[in-house]
Amino acid sequence: MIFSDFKRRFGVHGVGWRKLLSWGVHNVPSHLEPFVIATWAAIFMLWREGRKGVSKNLRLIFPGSSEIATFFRAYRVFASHAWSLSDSSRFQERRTIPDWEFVGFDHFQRLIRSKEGAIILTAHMGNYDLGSFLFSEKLKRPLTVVRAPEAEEDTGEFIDTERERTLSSDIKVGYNASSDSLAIELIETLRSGGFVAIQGDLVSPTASAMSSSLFGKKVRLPAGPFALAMASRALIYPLFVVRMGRRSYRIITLPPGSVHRTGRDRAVDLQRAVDAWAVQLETVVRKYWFQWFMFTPVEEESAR
Amino acid sequence: MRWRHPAERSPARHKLALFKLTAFLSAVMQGSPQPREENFVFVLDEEQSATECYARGFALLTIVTAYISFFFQQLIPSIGFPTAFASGLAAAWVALNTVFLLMGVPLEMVRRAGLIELRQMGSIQTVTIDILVMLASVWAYVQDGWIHYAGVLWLSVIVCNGLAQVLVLLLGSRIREVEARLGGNEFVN
Repeated sequence: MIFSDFKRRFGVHGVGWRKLLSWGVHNVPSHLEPFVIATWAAIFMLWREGRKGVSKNLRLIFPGSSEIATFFRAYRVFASHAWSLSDSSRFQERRTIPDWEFVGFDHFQRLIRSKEGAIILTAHMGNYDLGSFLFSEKLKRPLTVVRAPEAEEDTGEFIDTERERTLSSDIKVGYNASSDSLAIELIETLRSGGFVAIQGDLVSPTASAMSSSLFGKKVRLPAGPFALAMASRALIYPLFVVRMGRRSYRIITLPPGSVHRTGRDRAVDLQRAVDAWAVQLETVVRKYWFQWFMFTPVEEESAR
Repeated sequence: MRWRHPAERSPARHKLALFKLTAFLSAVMQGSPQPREENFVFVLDEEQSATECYARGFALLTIVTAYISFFFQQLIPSIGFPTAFASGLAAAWVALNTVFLLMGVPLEMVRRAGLIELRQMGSIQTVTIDILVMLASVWAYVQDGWIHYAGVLWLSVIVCNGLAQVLVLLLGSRIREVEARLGGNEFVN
């Protein structure tokens, strides 16, 4: 009984790691952090399913690379993810803020200065949590972050409690498990001038998806962000928060786009938008592959 | 080469006096800062410098490895230096990964008793580790053999940092002037 509870709490998706991380940011001296992160990244490499998912995605980006190269690249992805989680937790617990460099600053300024609501389309890349927390606090604008629910219920509860305790009330999290009620809520947020941040590289089981191409392979990408843009007439800003080094991040904002219905078939317009997003995603992921935290294979055949 | 924001070399981004003083001297020698660009935000936090963090961490790993290697050689005289060093490195790695856990448990109890605050725990851990390494350095200093020089080196660093701290205190207002000139800190509430 005690062993099974421990196993659940310290399973891959367990709450134990999250609690340990929150405690760790108060206890680990910053100059020891590199060793602790390197060790925990190695421990998380024991997660076979995640390692295989990352390796499969890396083989899409680097076709024909050797097993050993893929293994070390996968370790780099795990280490980057550990740093991002740690930075996010440091911000929540201690308000430790990293340095920022903006690429596409004009687009970013347009986003934050606009009085209209906007969809921030991002990926499982770099530190999307930290970016959204920080900018919502500084801009004083309501932000709804759409994400998949945690696999473990108590992990989700812990994350929600911590967020309520440490972050601005302007940030809300919408779980994409309840897509109908969430869609109405998101349209309301956009119409009231708020932001909606959605990750556009992973399809949750309940969400609608469309086929597209990434690195020359067939993939399924979520159609939700584009359907939302079509319904609300909000602009979509592709935005990526990439970790460049210790306490240093790059915010890449690409030109905004809109999704309009041009004919009778709505799917044609959505497909065009999904394909354009796939090209943008591929360009950024190719350059910052070590920041792409996709632990499940994206290729349609592999994902099945 | 990447363009460097003036605030990137601000003394305010360093904690250890040796690094703070070096950053101050470097800023003084480089003269007027370059114009600031909007698309960079540099935060002023004394633990912000990656150079200081990595240098401090690797120096600590090296010296702890040296002390443990010597201890292994004393324990098992038949092992050669390469074996002692490799096992010392592994032991030092484990030690640096677990020391905060070992100290963290009693600290957590003290915190729950209301004697310290959560934010103070990291500083207490840092000071405790520094004291332990300093005591180990004194032990190394009184030994014969190569470890004596490792002890001398670490104690010299401590003395140099102490002297740098005195200079930092004396140069207080000038350092603050340089920090203000270099800018940064846009995101601090």
